[in-house]
Amino acid sequence: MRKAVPYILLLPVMLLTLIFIGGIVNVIIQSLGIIPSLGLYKPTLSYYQEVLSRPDFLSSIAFSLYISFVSSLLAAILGVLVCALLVGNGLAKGKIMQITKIPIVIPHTVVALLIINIFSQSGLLPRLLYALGLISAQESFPSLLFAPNGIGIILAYLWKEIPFVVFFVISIMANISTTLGEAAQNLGASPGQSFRYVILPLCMPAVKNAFLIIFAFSLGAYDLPFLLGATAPKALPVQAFIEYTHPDLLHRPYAMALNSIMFFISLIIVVFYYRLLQGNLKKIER
Amino acid sequence: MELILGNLSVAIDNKLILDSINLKVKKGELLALLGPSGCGKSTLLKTIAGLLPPASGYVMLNGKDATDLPPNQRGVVIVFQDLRLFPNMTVEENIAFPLKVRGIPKGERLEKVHNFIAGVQLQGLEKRKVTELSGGQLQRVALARALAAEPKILLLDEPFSSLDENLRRDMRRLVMDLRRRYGITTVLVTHDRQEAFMMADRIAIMFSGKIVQCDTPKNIYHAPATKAVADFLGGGNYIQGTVKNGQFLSNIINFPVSKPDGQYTALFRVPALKALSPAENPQGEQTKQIFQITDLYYLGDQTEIIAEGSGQQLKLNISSDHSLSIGDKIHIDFDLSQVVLIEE
Amino acid sequence: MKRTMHIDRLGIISKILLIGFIFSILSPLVVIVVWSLAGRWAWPHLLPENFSLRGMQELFGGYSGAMETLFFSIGLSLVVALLAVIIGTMTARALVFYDFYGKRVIDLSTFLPIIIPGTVFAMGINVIFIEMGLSDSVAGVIVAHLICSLPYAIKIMTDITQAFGRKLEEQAAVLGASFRQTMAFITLPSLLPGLIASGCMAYIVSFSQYFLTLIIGGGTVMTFSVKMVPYLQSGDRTLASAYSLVFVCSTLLVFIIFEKTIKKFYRDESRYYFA
Repeated sequence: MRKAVPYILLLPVMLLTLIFIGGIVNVIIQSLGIIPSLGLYKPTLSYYQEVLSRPDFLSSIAFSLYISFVSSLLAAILGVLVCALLVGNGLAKGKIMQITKIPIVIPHTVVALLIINIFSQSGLLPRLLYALGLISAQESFPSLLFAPNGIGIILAYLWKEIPFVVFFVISIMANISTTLGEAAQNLGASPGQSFRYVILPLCMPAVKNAFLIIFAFSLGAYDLPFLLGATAPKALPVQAFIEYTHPDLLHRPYAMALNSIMFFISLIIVVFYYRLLQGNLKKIER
Repeated sequence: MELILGNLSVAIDNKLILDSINLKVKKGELLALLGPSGCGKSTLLKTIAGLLPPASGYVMLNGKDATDLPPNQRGVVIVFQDLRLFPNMTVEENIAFPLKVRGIPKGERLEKVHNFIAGVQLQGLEKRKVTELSGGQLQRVALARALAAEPKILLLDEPFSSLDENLRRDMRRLVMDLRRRYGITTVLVTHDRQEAFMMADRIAIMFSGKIVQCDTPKNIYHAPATKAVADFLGGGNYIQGTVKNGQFLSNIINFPVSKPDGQYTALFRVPALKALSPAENPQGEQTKQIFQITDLYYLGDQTEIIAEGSGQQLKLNISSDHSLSIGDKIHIDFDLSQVVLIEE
Repeated sequence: MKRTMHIDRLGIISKILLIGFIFSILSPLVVIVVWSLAGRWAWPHLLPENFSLRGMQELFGGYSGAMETLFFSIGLSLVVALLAVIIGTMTARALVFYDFYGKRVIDLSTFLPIIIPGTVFAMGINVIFIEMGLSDSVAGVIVAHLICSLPYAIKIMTDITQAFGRKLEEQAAVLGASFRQTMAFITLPSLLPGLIASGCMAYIVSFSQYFLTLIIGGGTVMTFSVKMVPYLQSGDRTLASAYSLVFVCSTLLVFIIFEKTIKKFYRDESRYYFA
């Protein structure tokens, strides 16, 4: 009886996990061209081959990787910087942290609007530059949104993700700073040296962790590239959804092949994440 | 209420923590469970209270098997070492908790709580949050709350270990008072032998999951079952030897005993030895040997001497107004009425 | 002397950077408040030329159905939050207090929905839901939202369950409290901050879901998020900002009410000792 207790407690979560895994398995099966309702039975890798040789699909993959990598890397660096500033000024708790939490609860769809309001060619920033005489016309402000450079999407992700990184890292950094950071300074390290040699290395696992989470999320997220992206290239999830909703149902396997590629990339991230977790455990055990 | 443990074994994560414990605590008795930390004392308390399931064996309360009884129906209450007061409740609410869960009506509850608060001398602190109390006050709340549960058996898990010396003495006295008043069967876990000697009717000594001896404080002190028990009770000077034809023989001392032949260790506790200066005329045959002082430790009213002779090191105390120094030679008088013989 | 000046300059720079950070969080939010009330605001004006209640009327006027959608959406997300808190608490107890076969696998798998993209899962699951009859249904949307919000609820509840451990529950049990009494008087009050936090987190994840709701709900299940996106795309910034503002404010309001209710419930509960 006592042995059964954990399994009873886990029943609902196992059920939901099964549904989740079922969804993923279904994606992989359909990406191999097995869709009985459409009369497709024979497993084949031809959809992958085609996806990986068509220029528009390839540029989708490249574009998504570019957006995710640049936004996540910048978010991690800037997030750590903000953390250091907050901890250095003794502000790791209180009002400023409350403000930092705001972007975490604002959905990506609304973030898109925030970015449009400010960075579009009729947004507040070009108006301000115009008023200051720095640009002469609306058109001389570079187009950041709906452009192949993806800057609008990256800005939107940064607005959401820098606070996420801060939130994820600050408590551990504040903790280390008051204990080991003080010890380091007591041994003669400058605040900069103590940050560089003691605090930052010890926070790195948390930072890497946060980076992996936002990288995986932005790689597979639909909302922002859909609302702020260019007509070409399209981000992977947007491209996949277009194929998914194509009137010709025979396009479905292409959608699923694109989805599988996203899935396999995120699987690699899971492995990294797990390694990181294990590494941390080993460090603690030592 | 009487408590009997029969062949009780407990394993945690497949590691045997308690190894076939047999123990009987009589009605109204205070039994001290004495042992080094990590020997399984706390595990034993939790098992008695029903918080841990035994791997084998049984727990009997008043002659009835209680092994499978859930903790809240046993009437066995623990005061944990970390006290475990409920941080979301005031002093009064903490003490009222066991009454409330038994469905005692409000008026009666209030009255009882006030009695218990008076019993542990906490008047005036009723409405305080438990986070606003000192260490001694927290102890009293925990004790009052346990009493409010009207325990048939009270289990105290090193309850005073975090207090300073004076407070500890007060709390011991309070517990003994309360116990006399309520007559509750009590098991006190401790690693402090003074505490056990002072408070207990009987002492059970526990080493690595086993009870090695259970007897009255006097019997345990005078007849420790093993050298480990003697050590735990303070130890002293051990002299290896043999008993042959009613005579203990060793290279230091020989004396008559009434023990069967075999290998024995003779324990002379520190006060059983007396230093005599060589000038004094040694009386007995056994004190003629000469020992040399190798160390002197000043302890206040007494001084501890370490002396060596015939390959044996001995520890004894002398009054501090001596004129001895390291390297001096002395005779030693052994008080044979205090010797403890332990069979190997 | 030189040294203190150097430190002062560093301090000033760090303060300026922090102010910049706070400004960049708050200013876009101020802008949507202004936009939602703007009438005409053409290039290159820095402030609206006139103000109008057009956006507010659209939302609160009753003809757009925005309020019905909002209340339905809040209700749906509250259900998801409640389920997530319950399941999260159960899962946390199992993971923290018990050793069982397959613990590591389950521990890791509860985390998967955070890393594996929701879009992949959404398109994969939709076909299965169609077969199960869950597609285009509220139940289907709730299940999908639940899968996305559970990892957060589990993480929060695992942390707090671990922090509190079993000590107080054991104490309550030996003092005579039954399982139910222990849960009501000890366990839930000590887990309260975690229950509120995981409830809020699950709510916000559910309430924000656009793509997943769109694909599983198939346009039949209309949440506020789904209704809002066409306005965001339309270029009518007054309406778009008004919708966004209502979205954000309703979330904050729900959070405040949520927290107040639970805390009040427990304060009353503990007053019951003597009042």
